[in-house]
This record gives sequence, structure tokens and C-alpha cells, in this order.
Amino acid sequence: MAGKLIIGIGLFAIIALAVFFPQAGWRLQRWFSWDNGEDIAGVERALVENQTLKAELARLAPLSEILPAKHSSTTRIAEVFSRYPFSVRNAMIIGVGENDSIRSGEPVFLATKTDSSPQVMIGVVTDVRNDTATVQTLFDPKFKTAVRVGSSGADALLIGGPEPTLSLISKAAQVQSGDIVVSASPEFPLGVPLATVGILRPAEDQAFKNATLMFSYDIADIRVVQVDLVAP
Amino acid sequence: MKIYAAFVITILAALVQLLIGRALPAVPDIALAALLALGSGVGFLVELGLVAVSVLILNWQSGPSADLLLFIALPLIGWLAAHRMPFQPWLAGFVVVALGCAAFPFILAPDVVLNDPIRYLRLWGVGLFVGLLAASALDAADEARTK
Repeated sequence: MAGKLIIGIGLFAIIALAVFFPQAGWRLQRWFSWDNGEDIAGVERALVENQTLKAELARLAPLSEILPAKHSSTTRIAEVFSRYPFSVRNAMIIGVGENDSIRSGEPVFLATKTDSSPQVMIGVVTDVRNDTATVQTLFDPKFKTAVRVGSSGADALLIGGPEPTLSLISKAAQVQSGDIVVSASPEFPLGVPLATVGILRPAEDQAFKNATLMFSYDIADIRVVQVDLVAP
Repeated sequence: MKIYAAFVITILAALVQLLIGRALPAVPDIALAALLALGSGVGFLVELGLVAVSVLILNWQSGPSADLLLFIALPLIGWLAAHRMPFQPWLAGFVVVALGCAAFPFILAPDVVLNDPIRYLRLWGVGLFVGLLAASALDAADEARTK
């Protein structure tokens, strides 16, 4: 009986260690991941993404006339430590926190190697600890934000989830497949690319259009992100 | 043999859940399903050990969270329920897996589940299948030992 009690206490101690010091598990997760980030395929993929994003930037140029200028900000580069493992959320833990001046609500982007590369927003910081922060991605079912679509700047609502969608696109709006989707919410920098329009279809009420979205990245492959520090 | 098999099944389930999370947009809670299913066939201390291993593999942030506490509590509650149900062990295990896999997402984010019930019904079905598979594998390991 005493032996079982000791084993039970020991197991509870292991659970407590795993909860409060999950670094061992993170190493295991990283080792088990089939994508090593800096391999040749990863570099090639990054080059393709870079080209795609530059093309998107060119298409975005007409929007600069109707959108206010992006406010100035500084950035922090952060490594992705781990990802939410269960079914109801899509979030990640990144290696910057309060000690790096990160605050809740700040936008998170794909890390780009040069300043001239276009930024693509992938989520928002929702919870900050000393050395880590939680990022809610666009693929989280609770993520919602106002966006503008295409060179006409048609208003729409981006709804997150395993397959994010656009809704509330006016039936009369000149939107087509391949149009760029940019942020239009005051919470985030305006005019930042999020995705491109996939397949358009009429909404159930026939008053609006809905659309699927296409992304130039795979959220599961992201190893490094960039956080914009919004000036207080 | 049975205990080793239970640990191997648990580790496999947790690792497969991680892999699915990197490959597909929707992740079924198969580690939870395996823990719930194995509970009816092992002792409480072994179940506690299985939960510890799963938490070590799956925990994604430092410090406790509602998600993780529920992930720890459900298999232990399931173990108590399965060992008190007046059913055959396989039926008790089935009921525990069905209820546990449905309760986990619904308690964590009921609005998300209700907003996309078909997707969560499918994920629940996958969890149920994995639970049955885990229980069958444990039984097979036990039979191999007795032979």
C-alpha cells in the first residue's frame, strides 16, 4: 500500500513537471517533426513563397491609394516552440514574451529575411508570459477580422477555422478568385496581406457572397515568426 | 506485457496526434481516446503513468491551462467510471470513450463545436474508432501473455 502511494505521488510529480517545465516535451515534438526548417526543400519553398508574396504586393499597389499609411513599428523575431495539440483551437507558443516588450493584441507575421519583403499576417498575440507568448492564428475557429478584398477594396469578414473563409462580401462587389485579401481592422496594421481569394459562391441568404481562402504558406511548417511591436 | 503494451499504445497515440496536427487542419483527440479506452483495462497507477507520458508529449505551454487540466482529469474520471459501471469491461470502455471524446471539446469551446457540429461529429467518430482500436490492441497483448 505504501509502495503504491509512493509511486502515485511520483507520477503526480512527473505530471506536475511536465506541466510546468514542458521543454523536454517540446524537444521531443521538434525531433519528431518531419520538417527541419532549414533544409533545402524549406529554402526552396521560402523562395517560392517570396516570389508569390512579391507578386501579391504588386497587385496590392492600387490599394495604397485608398488605405491609410501603415504606422511605424519595431519587430521581434521569434522561434515557434510548440503548437496547441487538441481539436478546438489553433495556436502556437513563440519564444518572446513580456521581457521582449511583447503585449497582447500585437500582430504576428511570417518572418521575412529582408525589410523589403512583403509581410503576411498569420495571427495575433493573445496571451503573454515572461519569456513566451501565445499566438492565435488565422486558423483558429474564434479568429474573426474585417478585411478588404481585391483592387476594388470590397469589404468582407474573415472567419478563422481549419479552413478559413470570407463572408459578407457584397453581391455587387467586383471580387474574383486570386484577389488579395488585406487587413482592414483598426486592431491590426491596415493593408497587410492575409491570403488570396479561392472559390466564390453565393451565401445562403443570396444577399452576400462567401469565398474560400488560399494561403501561400502551411501554418504547420512555420518555425520562425515576426511580431510587430505596436507603439503604445 | 499488458502494461508495456498500454504505454506503447499511449505513446503512439500521442505521437500520431502530433503528426496529424502537422498534416491536417483538424486534429482528432486520439490521445485522449486511447487514455479513456485503456483505463478500463489497467490499474489506477498505470493510468496515472499513461496520463503523465501523454502530458509530457503533448503539453504545449509552461504552466497549467484549462485544456491540459481537463485532458488530465477526464481519463482519471473515466477510469473511476469504467470500474464502477455494471457493464462488461469492453462496453464500459466504449461508453467512457464516447462520453469523454464528446465532452472534451464541448467543455473547452461549446460555441466552436456548435458552430461546426459536423466536423466535430467526424472527429468524435475518429476518436471512438481509435479508442476501440486501443482497447482491442490491449486485449490482444493480454491474450498473447496468457498463451
